[in-house]
Amino acid sequence: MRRVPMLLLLLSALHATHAHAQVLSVSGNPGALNVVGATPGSNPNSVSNASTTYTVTVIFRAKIAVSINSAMPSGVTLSVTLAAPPGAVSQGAIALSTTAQDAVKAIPLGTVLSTRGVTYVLSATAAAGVVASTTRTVTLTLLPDP
Amino acid sequence: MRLSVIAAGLTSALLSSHAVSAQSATQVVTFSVSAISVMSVSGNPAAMNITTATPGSAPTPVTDASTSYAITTNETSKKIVADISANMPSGLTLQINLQAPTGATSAGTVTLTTTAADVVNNVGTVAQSGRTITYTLSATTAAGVVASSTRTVTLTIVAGP
Repeated sequence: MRRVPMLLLLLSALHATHAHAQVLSVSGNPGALNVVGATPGSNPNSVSNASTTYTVTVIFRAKIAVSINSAMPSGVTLSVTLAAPPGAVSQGAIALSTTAQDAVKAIPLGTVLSTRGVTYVLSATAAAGVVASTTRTVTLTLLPDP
Repeated sequence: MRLSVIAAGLTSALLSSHAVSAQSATQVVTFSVSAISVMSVSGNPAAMNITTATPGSAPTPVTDASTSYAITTNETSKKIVADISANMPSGLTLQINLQAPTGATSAGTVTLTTTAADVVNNVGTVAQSGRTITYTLSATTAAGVVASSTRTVTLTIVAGP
């Protein structure tokens, strides 16, 4: 019977370890993305920012989904590309919406502190008009990848 | 034996709870789209030479519709104006006609002077190329013979209607 508390203690430690074993973090916020020019006859030139990274550690096969907190203005598109850790598969540029979409899939078991790039691209049609500076919160969510 | 069953059960429960748990991170993206109004032309038209006339009439005008312009604006209530770098010789008239972008209105054939004149009105948000520019050169008999000369035509997007 004395072994039961010790076992629970051990499992508690295991739980605490696992609570930090599956981790997703980002390096910070990207710089402001400002569309400022165009080639005559074409929609305004897109702008990009690849200054930030994410770091992931997983103890199970996982994937990363992305979403924003509110829809983009009409005619304006914010896309994100997450570079994939070794063995995983990037889904390429994802046009962000309030619906979560897979950005990286098949992150293999045992991926530890893998840091990869995050690239944002902002594009706009001429019909979008002038858009005052505003923000969106982008959420990256680490999920099991069945 | 019972201890092993308990341990296995707890371990399984802990692992499975982590297997379905979601970890997340957030970034704040700041963005904007500035006012953009730009246009370009495809090149210079060929030389326009008045070389003949119908007897009893002024010399026959000549036209050139070989060039075009492209425009992008994400602003509304704009217009295109045109002017030339120096006045035309007496008796000689250079006119321009711009095909309007979608949703805008051409002012038709407009005589060019050093004062900017409206050539397209009601330009709204648009990104379009291949809009035809048509030049017409005409002369009166009183203009006489005019040696080859040039004028620089400037098209400008300005606040309209």
